[in-house]
Amino acid sequence: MFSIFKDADQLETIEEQLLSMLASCQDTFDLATGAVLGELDVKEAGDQLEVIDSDLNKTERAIRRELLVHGTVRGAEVNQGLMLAYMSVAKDIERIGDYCKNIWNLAQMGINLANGDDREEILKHCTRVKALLSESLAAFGEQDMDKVHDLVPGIKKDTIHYDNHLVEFVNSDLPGRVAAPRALFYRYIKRISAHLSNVLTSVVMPVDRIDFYKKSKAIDNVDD
Amino acid sequence: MGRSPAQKDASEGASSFPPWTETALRLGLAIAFLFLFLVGVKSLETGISSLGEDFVDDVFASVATPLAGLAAGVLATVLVQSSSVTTATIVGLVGSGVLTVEAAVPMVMGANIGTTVTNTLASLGHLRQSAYFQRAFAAATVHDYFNLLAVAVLLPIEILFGTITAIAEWLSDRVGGLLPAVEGSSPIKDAVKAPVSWIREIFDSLGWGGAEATLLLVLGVLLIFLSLWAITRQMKLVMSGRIENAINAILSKGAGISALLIGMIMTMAVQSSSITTSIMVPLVAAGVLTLSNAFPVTLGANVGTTITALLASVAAESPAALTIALAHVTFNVAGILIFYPTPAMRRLPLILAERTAEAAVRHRSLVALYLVGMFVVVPLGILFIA
Repeated sequence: MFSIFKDADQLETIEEQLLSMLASCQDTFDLATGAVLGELDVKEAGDQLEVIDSDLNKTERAIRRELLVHGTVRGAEVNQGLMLAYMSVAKDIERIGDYCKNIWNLAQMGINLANGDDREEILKHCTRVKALLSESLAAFGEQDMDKVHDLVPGIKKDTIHYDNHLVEFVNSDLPGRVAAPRALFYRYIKRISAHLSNVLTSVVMPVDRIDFYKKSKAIDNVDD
Repeated sequence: MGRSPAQKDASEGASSFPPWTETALRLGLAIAFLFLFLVGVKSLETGISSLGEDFVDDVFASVATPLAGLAAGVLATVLVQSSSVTTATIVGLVGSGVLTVEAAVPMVMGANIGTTVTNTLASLGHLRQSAYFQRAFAAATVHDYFNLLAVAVLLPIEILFGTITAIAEWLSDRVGGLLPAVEGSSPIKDAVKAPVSWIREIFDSLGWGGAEATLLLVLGVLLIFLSLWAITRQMKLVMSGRIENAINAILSKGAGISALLIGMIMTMAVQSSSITTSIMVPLVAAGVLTLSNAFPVTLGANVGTTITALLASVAAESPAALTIALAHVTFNVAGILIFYPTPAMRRLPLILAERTAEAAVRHRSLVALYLVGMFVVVPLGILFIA
């Protein structure tokens, strides 16, 4: 009942929840890749991942409810653009969690990606995505538009690169047990990167162009 | 986390004041409008007192039977879309001696029924999608059914035994003794009287003395209406963050007595039960709040809205004004005590609302029939017959 006496900027609360979700995605990625690279116990990593993923899902649902309450209570005064953007961002972050879980599923199926000849290549991509998660968290948290403009084109290049790997493994003559998990792995990190890019575009793009980055259409370029 | 220009919009960037300054300014404005509201009640009371015995007889005759009073309360509230305006006016009528407390009690009950038209109208915004509309209509009509059931039980008791009036008089004797403002003069009453005297002098100087009573009455109703609208607007802006917090707490922890208290405090703060109940409608429609969790908030809103009549009684001359304001409180609290504590009784308005919403989705014409019938045709018919 005492909640009625506590004033709060609900959008600020939602922003904190989004940042906390993004930070959790770093943990889920570390656990998933740790398991699939044979660095962590698969079951233990899975248990921890399950807890974090469940929290991510709960937070996404809470954000949806809170946005609805915010819009209903504020009526005409509401920042509708921001509400729609946050709805979209929450979904993207939740999907990142799901793809991390998919990577862990590979480990659950007995796959160890560190055993192949492409070990170094896979480790390099894991390190890249890990760094991106960290940089995206900082850029989104600080709403740093310059940083976003630096990051998003790089992510676009990454996704094309991951796609090429995916096509390469789908068409390769390698045994299914080698090619299929790698194709899936590249598919998953491509989607993680793409969702991260979507999160970042919400900082610089108008609401109708979130997920569709084009520097010339970014809000800070409108008057150029 | 700051917001980038891409995420800011005009509404967010509109205020250049620090938050506490804006809150203080809005609270100051709300207090100023509250004073204007009291001036409105005083003006109405003075105008009515000056209208003469014929007017008094006419008003009294039009609501001479309890059912006529009930219908008049419903129609007046539907017309102005605010039970606060109706009850404040009733307090003015009782304060000026035009209406007795006994005659005014059914009118106050009618105001309770009439005010639910606002959220029923709000539910029509969800007509496009059947599942949404069904939930929205149930959320709106649960308030209607609760008030109808409360009236169905309490009005006969009031007619037969005068129980609500007796309780209100008993409370008024005790509360009145504690408040120096109820009888005789008080700084608030004196402060409220002064502007009314100035207005009368202005009317005299303009040569409108002959129509003074009517002008004061019209001015009083206008001031009550506008000041309540302005108070609600300012307080809603001040309270938005707190209201969001409270609703989020209800959503995450469920409802119950705390939801009832939250509904009451929200309504007291914004001076409008329609604001509180209309916020519930889209939340229930979207499925994030269940009907049974929204119900106690609605009941709290019923009690919270009685603050307006209590405030209005501060400006009135007669202690009877406080009695009718307390009768409003008594009626709403009694309704809750009858229908909320027992699960079987609590389910009754919920079941009726759910059934009505199911029927409304199947036959959309029932919605129009319900709205027009419940809020216009039936009260008009009762008034005509009475």
